[in-house]
Amino acid sequence: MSDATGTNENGAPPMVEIFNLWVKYGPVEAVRGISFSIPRGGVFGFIGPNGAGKSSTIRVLATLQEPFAGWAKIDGVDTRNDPTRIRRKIGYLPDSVGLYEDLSVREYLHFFAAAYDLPEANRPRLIDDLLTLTDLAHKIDAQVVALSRGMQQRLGLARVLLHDPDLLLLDEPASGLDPRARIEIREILKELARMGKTILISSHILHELSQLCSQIGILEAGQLVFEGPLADINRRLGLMQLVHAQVVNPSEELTQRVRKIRGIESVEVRGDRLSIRVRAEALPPETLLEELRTAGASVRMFQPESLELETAFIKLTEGKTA
Amino acid sequence: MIFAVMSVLRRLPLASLRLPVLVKDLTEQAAQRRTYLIRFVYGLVLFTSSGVLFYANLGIGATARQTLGRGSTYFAILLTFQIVAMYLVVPLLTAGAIAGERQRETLVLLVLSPLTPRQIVLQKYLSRMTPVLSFVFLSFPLLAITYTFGGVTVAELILGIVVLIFVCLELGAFGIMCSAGCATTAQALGATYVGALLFPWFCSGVCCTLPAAGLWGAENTSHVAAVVAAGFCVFSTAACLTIAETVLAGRTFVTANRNVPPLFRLMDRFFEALNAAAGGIVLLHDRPGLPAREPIRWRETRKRSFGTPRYLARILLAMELPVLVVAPAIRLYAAPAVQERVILTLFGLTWMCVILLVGVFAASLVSQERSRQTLSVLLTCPLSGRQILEQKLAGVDRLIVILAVPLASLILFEAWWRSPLSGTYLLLSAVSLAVYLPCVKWLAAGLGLRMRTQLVAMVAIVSVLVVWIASLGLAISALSRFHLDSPAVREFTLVLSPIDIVRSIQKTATNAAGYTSDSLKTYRPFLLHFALYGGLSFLLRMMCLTNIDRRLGRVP
Repeated sequence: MSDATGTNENGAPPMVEIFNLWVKYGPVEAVRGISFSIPRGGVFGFIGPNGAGKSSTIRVLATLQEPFAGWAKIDGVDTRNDPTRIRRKIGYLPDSVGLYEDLSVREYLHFFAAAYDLPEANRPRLIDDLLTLTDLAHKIDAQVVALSRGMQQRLGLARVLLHDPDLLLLDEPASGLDPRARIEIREILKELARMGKTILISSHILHELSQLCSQIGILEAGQLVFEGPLADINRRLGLMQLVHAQVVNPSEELTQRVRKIRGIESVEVRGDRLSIRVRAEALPPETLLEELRTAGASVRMFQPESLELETAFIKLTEGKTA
Repeated sequence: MIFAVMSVLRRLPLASLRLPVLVKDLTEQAAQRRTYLIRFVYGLVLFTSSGVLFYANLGIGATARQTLGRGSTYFAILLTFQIVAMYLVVPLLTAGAIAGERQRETLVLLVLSPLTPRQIVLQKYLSRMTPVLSFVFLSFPLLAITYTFGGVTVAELILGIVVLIFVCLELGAFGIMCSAGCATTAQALGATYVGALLFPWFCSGVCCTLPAAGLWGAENTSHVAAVVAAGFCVFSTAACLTIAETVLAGRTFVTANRNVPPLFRLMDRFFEALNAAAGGIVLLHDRPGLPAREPIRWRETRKRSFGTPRYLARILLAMELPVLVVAPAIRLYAAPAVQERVILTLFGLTWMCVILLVGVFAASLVSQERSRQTLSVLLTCPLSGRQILEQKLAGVDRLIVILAVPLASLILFEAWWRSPLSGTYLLLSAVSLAVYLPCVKWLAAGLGLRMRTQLVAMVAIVSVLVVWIASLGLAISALSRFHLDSPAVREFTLVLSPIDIVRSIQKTATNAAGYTSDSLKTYRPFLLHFALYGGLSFLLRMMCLTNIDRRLGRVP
């Protein structure tokens, strides 16, 4: 468990700490004094329009951005003080995957295994495991250029995981992918989160982030307009959550009883299915399920939709860029 | 007058001509500062060198009688300068015309538009020929001055200009063809330069030499020969553009990974068929294996086309065979009076090829990673910046060794031909190889570190080399004109100028020009020159490796 500052119970510092970060490109201020921290094992979603400063922030953490003002620490180490140590702690996946097209999948991963100076004897096994994790085992001898975009992105993820980094910096990993590839990437990331990796992921696809992230940061024109858990946004903005329920005993009477439950805004009935809009901060899904049962509903299916992050994004931002 | 023409042009219904690609390219060029900068620098070099040429030969206050009839010499020199300059400039301007669109993934949009491949190719061609012709037009006032000196007829003047324009048109078409066929701008540039080196002997050569025979020696130009040469030139231009048009659609999606030049692939097939007939003899195995450590070195020397033994062997053959055939042929068949000059030209050409290849490859190493967006991934690895650069240069080191072979062959042949063997000649030649090539490598690598794209890096290194050599030549001419060519000044220029040193090394082979003495004083310029360039090489290396992380774009 981590406290508000991100320091965990063992006193270890948060995995990522950024304080008053400023990044300038000539006269353009890409990042303007942002501060946030990510606890160990947290999944932080970075949202913002193009030019908001997401990639610049990620590049600072990846030791690719200099100069900048303020400070950024990874696992308590300042990125400027010991960049080589930082590089062993991070796995960076840029928005363009950065593949060597003259290599095969096996050669590509061995290339980076050698770059990280991993023990030679362990490499084949490790690479097999990573390819299994990313579902690319059958493509081990394929040329990188022959892979689909989704596969290339998964290969990029396999590369990022080679040296078992504590922190993954993923810049738009799902951009340009078809729905299936996006779902595959999301499932891999969920698996990595379960494995305890700290993940900082930027994306335009808000729905993806809402399903994955424990914490989000909304960035606009180089400034953080919101940072915190997703539920906090809903609380702050009074956002609605949509819940789909299928009941065995639909009736007008039941619908009326459901409408009277505290925290429910509206109920739409389509045959045996109810689409219920609830105030997220007032009625969490698990309480709603209890309330439905108390109201006499025999629930066959109960599916809360992800929170309306898009609405939050629109409400919190004004469409400005740096 | 100009305003009147512009006013008329503005009123023309150009939009109805449907030249969107041409309009876009010209607008882009007009908006770039470098368009004007390059034109200004080119004009400055052209006019300054011409000024030095006229002044060095005539001096201020020369009388009409003194200048009378000297125009033909200056005319030939100017024309030669322009043609050589066009051989350097036109590939730079045309290589990115189509390959650049392909790399930016915009070519597919053009191909899918209602424009036909012919329209695309022609508009791209015109967009590149516009600045090229502006370079050509820059020399017209100077050509007119040579006409006023006398010795040049109006027919020769017109013919010279036509030859110059035809050479540009033909070379431009060749560049567009390479750009349409190659995956990247860098490949297109390489292909155009290689082609341009061979081209004069086949196409432009016919165009240039026949009419130019009248300008550069023969009394009467054969008009029939000129017409035939011009016809050949038009034919080859049309052929290049037709090939570009034919391959355009088929090579829209060709990617940089298939970066083995088509010629190599053709050679692969040929050698494999030959090998099958010979019973499957394999001298060089392409077994890249897997990288144990030093992964970048492994990729540069095992996986990239120009790093693998198979292709290096072919580069070696391509460079070595002409040298082995041409050098003995010159010695056996050329007239004794011109032998030395022709051999020196062969040396110059071979050096030029080697230096350009080393420079271009070294300059494109890091910039290529940058433009292909693979550099950031590499930079987040725990490899040090020094390790990254040194491993990247491993392929160039191999290339240097391979390219030194034809030069070494030429040197050894000359030493053998002029027996008894001159030890000094061999030693100085070996030192020149050991000094110049690493110097060019580090200069190019340093420029490549600063450039964002591969093409800009290649253009930068070619420009730096050309400007360095040209400015030294100009300075030496100026010193000579101001009667500053005392032995001390001559020694100073020798210390600075690689061209003069290479030329002087050739003289040591024949024990000519006083190189008979083994005294330290005789060889002092050589020692100082190599110490200077060796020191420069060391300095460039230091500059590359100091703050390398920052130059690569990461926190040091």
